[in-house]
Amino acid sequence: MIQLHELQFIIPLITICVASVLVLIVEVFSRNREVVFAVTTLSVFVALIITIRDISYSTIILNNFININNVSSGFNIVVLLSVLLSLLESRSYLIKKQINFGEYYAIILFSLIGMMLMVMANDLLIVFLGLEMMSICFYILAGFMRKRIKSNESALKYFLLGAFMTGFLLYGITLIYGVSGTTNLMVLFSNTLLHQEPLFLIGVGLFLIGFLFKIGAFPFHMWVPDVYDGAPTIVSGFMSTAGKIAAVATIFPIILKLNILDYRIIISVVSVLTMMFGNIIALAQTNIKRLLAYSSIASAGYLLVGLAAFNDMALRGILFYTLAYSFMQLGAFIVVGIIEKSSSDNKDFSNISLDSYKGLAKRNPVLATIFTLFLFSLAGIPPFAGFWGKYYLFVAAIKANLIWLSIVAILLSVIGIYYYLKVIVYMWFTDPETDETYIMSPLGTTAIILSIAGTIFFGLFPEIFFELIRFY
Amino acid sequence: MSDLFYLVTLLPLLGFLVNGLLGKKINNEKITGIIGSLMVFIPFLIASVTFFQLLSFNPEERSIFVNYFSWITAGNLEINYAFLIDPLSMVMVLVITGIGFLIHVYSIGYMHGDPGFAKFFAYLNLFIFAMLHLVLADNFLLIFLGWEGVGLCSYLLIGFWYQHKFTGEAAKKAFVMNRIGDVGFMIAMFIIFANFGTLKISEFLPQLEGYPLNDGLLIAIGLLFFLGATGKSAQIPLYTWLPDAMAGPTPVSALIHAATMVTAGIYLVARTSLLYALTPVTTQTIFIIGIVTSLLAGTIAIKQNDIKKVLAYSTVSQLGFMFIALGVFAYHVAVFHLVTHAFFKALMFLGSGSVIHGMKDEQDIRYMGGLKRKMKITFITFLIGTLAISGIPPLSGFWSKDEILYKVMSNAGTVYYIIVLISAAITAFYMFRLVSLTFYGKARYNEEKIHPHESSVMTIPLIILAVLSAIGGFIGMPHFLGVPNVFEEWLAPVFSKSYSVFESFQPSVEHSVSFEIILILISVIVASVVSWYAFKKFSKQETFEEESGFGKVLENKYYVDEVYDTVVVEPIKNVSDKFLWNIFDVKIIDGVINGIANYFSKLSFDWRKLQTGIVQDYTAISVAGVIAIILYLLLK
Repeated sequence: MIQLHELQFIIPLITICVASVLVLIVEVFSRNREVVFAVTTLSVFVALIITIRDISYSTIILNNFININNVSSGFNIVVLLSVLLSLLESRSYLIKKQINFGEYYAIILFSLIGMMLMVMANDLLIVFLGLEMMSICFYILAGFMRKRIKSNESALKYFLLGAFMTGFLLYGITLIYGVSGTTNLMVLFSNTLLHQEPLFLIGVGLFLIGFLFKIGAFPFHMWVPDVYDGAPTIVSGFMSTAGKIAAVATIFPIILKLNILDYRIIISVVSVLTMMFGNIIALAQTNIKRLLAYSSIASAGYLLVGLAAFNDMALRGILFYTLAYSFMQLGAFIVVGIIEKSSSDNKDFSNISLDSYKGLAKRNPVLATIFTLFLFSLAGIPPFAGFWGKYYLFVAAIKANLIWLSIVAILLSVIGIYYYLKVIVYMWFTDPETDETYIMSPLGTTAIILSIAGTIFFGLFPEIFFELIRFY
Repeated sequence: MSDLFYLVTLLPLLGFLVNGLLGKKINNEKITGIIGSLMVFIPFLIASVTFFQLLSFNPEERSIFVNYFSWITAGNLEINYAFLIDPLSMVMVLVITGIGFLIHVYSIGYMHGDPGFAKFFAYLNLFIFAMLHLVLADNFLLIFLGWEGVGLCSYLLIGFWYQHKFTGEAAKKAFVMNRIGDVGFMIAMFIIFANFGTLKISEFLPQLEGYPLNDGLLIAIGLLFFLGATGKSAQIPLYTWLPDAMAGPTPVSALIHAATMVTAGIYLVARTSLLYALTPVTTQTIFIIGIVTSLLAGTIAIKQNDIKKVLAYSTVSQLGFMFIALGVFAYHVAVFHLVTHAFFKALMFLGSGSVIHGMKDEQDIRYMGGLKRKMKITFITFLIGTLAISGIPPLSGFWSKDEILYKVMSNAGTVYYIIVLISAAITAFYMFRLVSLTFYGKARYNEEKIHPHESSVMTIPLIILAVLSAIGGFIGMPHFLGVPNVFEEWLAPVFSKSYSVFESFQPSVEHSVSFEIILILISVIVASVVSWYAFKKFSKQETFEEESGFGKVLENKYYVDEVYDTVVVEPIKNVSDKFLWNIFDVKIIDGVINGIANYFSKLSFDWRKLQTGIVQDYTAISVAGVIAIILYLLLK
């Protein structure tokens, strides 16, 4: 039975729900986007603060559908943080691209509801509900520049493949239910007899495949470059951080608690192939958004190293890597968004080839320095947060006796350094071809400062995050 | 007060950030100088209050452990950002912030008009920040952070006037020489972690109890730490950087290269004294190195003509005395000499800065003379410093040096006592040569062009330091005078275990009071006679001849730099130029790397063809993946 007092545990979720409806109503009566923007950002901020305050809650509520503990709240903090950072930069980007419509903010909030639900889910149905809520919003956001061909192509491809792969996921849930007669995760975890049923294993396998698609793992990664390339840049940043983080935050605890060794081999192989494809194909890219897309595929591969290890250290690694990733990946996309030109000429994106970054250090040293720091962090160079993320993940693999996997992962991440450095070399060691200047809005600057601060701060004091979420 | 203690390290960092980032914008020497000085003075006040707080505790409880946060956790390695406030670190903090503050004030006058004024104060604050970490840290890694931090600041400040080629080279030399020592420090840390599973000092030292004397493992750790100490504290074989470091601004020489940073090695050995007490072999090594260094540097100082070079070699020699004290298991005496030396050496460096400033950047004492009337305060304070270092009672240096001599006599024997006494006599000789040539006699500079003068912001620190140099020794007077040796009592809890280990294998010898008095009389007589002789010999000297014979060897510092160049530097250069660079690097390394890189970029262009952009292809590949996974789950 649902009791009223249970609602106190999901105040952040309720805040976002109320705000999303409010945004829709305001949007009808007022053309003033500032109000919409303010309500959205404020609600996310409030939800973030409340989640941090209530970090010690640990309970299962709402008829066993929702499970709240410090790990789910920790992941929610990271998700909320990346939504907040992308919102801050969204406004000026949308204005620049002349797509500053109110529904953008409502859709972001809807997708956020989906992500938070999914992360806190204690039932496969809630997982599915959350995942679909998030995905459908993403399809719309990817096609948000509806007059641009590339954006439409991006949305359509994403939708077709997404719908197709969701079929497998749903089929997996059906099989699990068929074998076990329940969709409750706690029951599924504890019933170890089930874990030998071939059909159950295939059911979980299909379920896993649905998530491998969402986080962009080989061979279900093909949509990533096309979608990130065509979507509005800030949306690409948002999808590649918040969306991916929510997906990995949902699947990891499930795999961890099922603790079935068969998946370790599957995930290890997928992880190696993902890192190989991401890192190697990125070498040949000349478009910065595609380059970041392949780099995000490689990052998915690193996260899968942790997923394959499924031990406590891996949980630590995934929590930390997602945190670092939301700062550095989003930060990088924000910089790309700033450098991109306004497309009043109805053309598709301009200034996203690597050539536009030539001599950036001479034209705009601040922006170049910032971008360099993000790229260093993505490449995993200490003392930035990205280094510790990889470090914890690879240590987790070693602890799980996957020493070969950690060696391969380290070697492949070395290849990654090449294309990050390539961008840095373009910025610092070549002469500028244009003398363009770039406008940074105050809010966007705030987002960048926060990202830089996070990247450096958590690089110097990695343990503080775990103390914040009481995870020892 | 310990809840405010975090400000002690935070404020210098704040000062560094403010002056470093906004210094150019503020563009006001007064504000910059006041900020920089306050950020050291407030910590000094907090540290003083904490000191009195510690004093109110029982001696055994005078050790506060403050854990701020957990810094690095990886497997068994757990590093906290934590401080250990105990009598030893307290002494160091008071010296660093107290003398540091005076030197900051002095710098306001000394650096006046320099275009890098704000940068200078930023670096000084950063140095204080790093040095405080070095002495406060409760684990070796945090000590190492401070250790490297002060090394960096030393490098930056030696090369502060980077426009001159030789300052850059001096900075590089200091940096590289220190690196050699740092390797020792690092390997020691690795060994400790591998064998004791911790880097915390408070967990490491208790584990040592029960080890037999001269255990091989402990000897290795002790020698490696000592190698680090020889780098930082300028002992044989790594001392040659310190005299060159005088290329930096004089306040830097006073603060970093005399009073604080160079004592880091002494601090490190004192902090891990139990390790050294358990390994007499290591301690003997330290003793011998200390003696040879003090003699070598002292004799070189006799023939140097640059006022700062004399003081620099004197510093090397005095650091040697501190290591001698460590080498006869007299840890508190080493720290005592460290403190008194900080007073009088900082005083004399600042005095020399005042002279150099007044003489329009002249540093050669052959072109000075007769300054005592024109720079009265500088002269009087400098003379006090000289009397102190020469061991004339009752000034501070007398008490600490005499204590060292006494400990050498009772723990090492008469032969060594005589050697150390000679070294002490040499100190008095070159110091009085310096004073006589600088301040006495006739002016040997062009009096029409140069008008020596003093500035008040610079003389006030001199006066304070002179007072400290004069009376600072009373905190550590020997027992037989009937007054308590408060310094020894204060440090007793830190070294009690080391002393009991030492006494277990070498029972303490009780000397009669008359014996002690005879020793004191001997050293007073020797110091006075030598001082007087040097004063008589040099105060009238007006012409200087080309050195010849052994004098020339001394003037050229025993040609150690040249020997190092031929034996170490040149062969390394040759090997790296002819083999490592042209063959190994260019042909082998570059060849392999370019080969791999070309392979992957070719692979990349091939693989990207998979990305056709056609949704049907994507679906087909996905389905292949699904089938593979299901097949595996079915057939495994």
